[in-house]
Amino acid sequence: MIFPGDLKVSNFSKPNLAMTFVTLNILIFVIANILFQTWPQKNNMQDFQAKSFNQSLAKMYVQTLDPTEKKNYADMTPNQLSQLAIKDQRFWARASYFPFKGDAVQIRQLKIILADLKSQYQDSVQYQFGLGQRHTSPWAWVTYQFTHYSFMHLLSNLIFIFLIISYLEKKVAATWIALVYVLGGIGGGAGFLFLSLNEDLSVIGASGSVCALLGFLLVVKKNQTMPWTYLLAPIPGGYGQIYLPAFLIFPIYLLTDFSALLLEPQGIVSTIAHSAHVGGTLTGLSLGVLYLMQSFFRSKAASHGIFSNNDGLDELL
Amino acid sequence: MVYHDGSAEINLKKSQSLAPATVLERVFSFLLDYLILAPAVSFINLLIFKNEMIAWRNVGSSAAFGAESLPLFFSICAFFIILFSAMQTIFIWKWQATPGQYFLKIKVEFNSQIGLSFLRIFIRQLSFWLSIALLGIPFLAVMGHPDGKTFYDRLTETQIKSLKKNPVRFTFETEGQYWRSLISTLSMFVFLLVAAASWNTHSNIRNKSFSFMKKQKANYFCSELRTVDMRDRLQTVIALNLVGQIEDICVDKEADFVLWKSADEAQRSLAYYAKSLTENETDDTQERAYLRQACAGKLKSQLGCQIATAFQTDALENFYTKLSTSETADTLLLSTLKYELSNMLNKPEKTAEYLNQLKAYDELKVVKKYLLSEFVNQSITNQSRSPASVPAQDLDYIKKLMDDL
Repeated sequence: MIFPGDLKVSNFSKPNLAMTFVTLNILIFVIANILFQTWPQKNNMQDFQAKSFNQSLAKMYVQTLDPTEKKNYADMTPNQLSQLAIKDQRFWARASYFPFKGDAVQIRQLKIILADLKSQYQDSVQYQFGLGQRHTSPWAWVTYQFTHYSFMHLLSNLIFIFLIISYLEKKVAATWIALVYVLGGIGGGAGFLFLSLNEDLSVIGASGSVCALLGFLLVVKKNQTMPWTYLLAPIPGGYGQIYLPAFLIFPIYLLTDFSALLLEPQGIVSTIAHSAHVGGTLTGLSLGVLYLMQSFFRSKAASHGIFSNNDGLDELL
Repeated sequence: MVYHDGSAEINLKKSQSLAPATVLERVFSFLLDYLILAPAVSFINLLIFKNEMIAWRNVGSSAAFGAESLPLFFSICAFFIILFSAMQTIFIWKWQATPGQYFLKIKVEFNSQIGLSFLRIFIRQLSFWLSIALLGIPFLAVMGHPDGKTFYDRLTETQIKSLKKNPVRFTFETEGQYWRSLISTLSMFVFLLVAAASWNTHSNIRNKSFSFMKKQKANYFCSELRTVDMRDRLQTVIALNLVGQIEDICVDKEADFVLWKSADEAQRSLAYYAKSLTENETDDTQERAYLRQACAGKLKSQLGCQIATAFQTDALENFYTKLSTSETADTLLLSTLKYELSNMLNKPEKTAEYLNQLKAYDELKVVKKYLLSEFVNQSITNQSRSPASVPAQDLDYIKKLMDDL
């Protein structure tokens, strides 16, 4: 594991932006999980995987599709089709009245599970806080950035948020970082809505913001070396920090999202919304360029005594 | 450990008396290389093999396309390894270090006197991947060598040196004798493993049990039933499953086909009965649901419902009488049921007759196996009743079956 940023010099005792974002994410995760359920629930997934429900679900789903969709999905395996079925809200609605032909026993049992799935989804964190094609609200553009599906999902994003913001805070004004986080998340959401047109479920997670922070860091630091925190093994020399150029962020973290998008134009590969990552990255890269431009013009203006020579938006705001 | 800022000047040329790089540095440098180069190589791989990757992803787990997906998978992997190694080779050839090695301040020294540097480095990098296939033994040789050379370092006359003054070393690196004996033992084990696997493959090829064409021909349904007519498949598979000659999964597939794909309403009841046979034995809720469904509505008059009811209500005697007196054309299922029920209900006068009826279906290999076991059983039973009473035609038939099998 290797992450851009410096854990060693981080000051945990002093309040800072990194800790603020980390606390905010944890707080919202806890509150959201107290108020709402996770989706899909474990028992539903176990039911789907049990016996040949997976196969039957795929067969039922195909029956409800129109001829064009059937043609588009012709090459898909039953597993892929059943994954689509679980996410397709039209199917949940149709399942209750559609005259399915096939194994009547399994159809009856699957109809019950699908009805549960619909009601559980509407009471889930993903539906209430997430940003989606079918269900969205003005506040969802912000709330989705601070909501996570599981503890591991939260933890993986928090590591990046903490390390990158801790490092950036020493170089860039807090207002800029907060702007990159929030606008990056909005950019990620836009990427998801534009690219993942067939995705019925809402997206949640700070990944778009994290990618924006990575993109911003990449542009701001370019080929300069920066500390990276690594963990290979819990032995001396197996963990610590190493100096590597910032541009390595692109091959190590960002290129994979573009590859995924090339392979799967919908941008969703095994529940990861690469489309949101790409949206966040592009926003981060653009904001990085904007930051460099304003730094350049501000330094020029400062040399003429117009503004003081700092790099933030603080003065304007 | 904190590595120094890599932007500091590194003089790669001052390398006369450098210490060998530590094992951890070599491992870490490969991981860095992997993190940096693998996404780029994967991206190029994707640009070239996009259609193949989509095909492989879609058919990967499907047995029907197993034969096609394997060469696809190996081609993509081989291209990845070659491209990855080529990229590393260019870095080493140009800067004496891969990106990972550069950032960890280690470098590759190679004997430039003997020429063919590029090719040698390329072979070295490819050999690294081969060492993974050989349980990492060629890499592990680094522990046993006094100059810290791996097997492929020795092969290509190269060495990895550290540019740091005091590289951190661990005590396990100095236990050369222990590592040498371990490597010898492991090598012998791998050699025996490879030899055994090769012999096994060779035997399989000779026995024709491993063949590309055979795998390719295997379709969605069970290979045992490939020659059976579509309308008779379900009945055949149920009959063979009842007598333990065919697996539950085959029955499940045939029943699913009838329920989901076939428009043949006459077989639906049998399909539900077939599904009840394959249900989990520990939980009979699902089994009962299928048995009920076999007799639901219009299906009541169908064969599946009759079998289900007979076995559920223990009305086997009635069912047997009904079957024996019925004038409908015999099928493998009906003949098997008659034969097995006559055995079960102790009707020896009819057993031989029904067994002979089953001979009509002996084109199938599984039926041959079943008949062979039944004829042998019958012979043993008859012998115990009256010695030397096995009819000559039965003996001939047993001999014929054995020859065929």
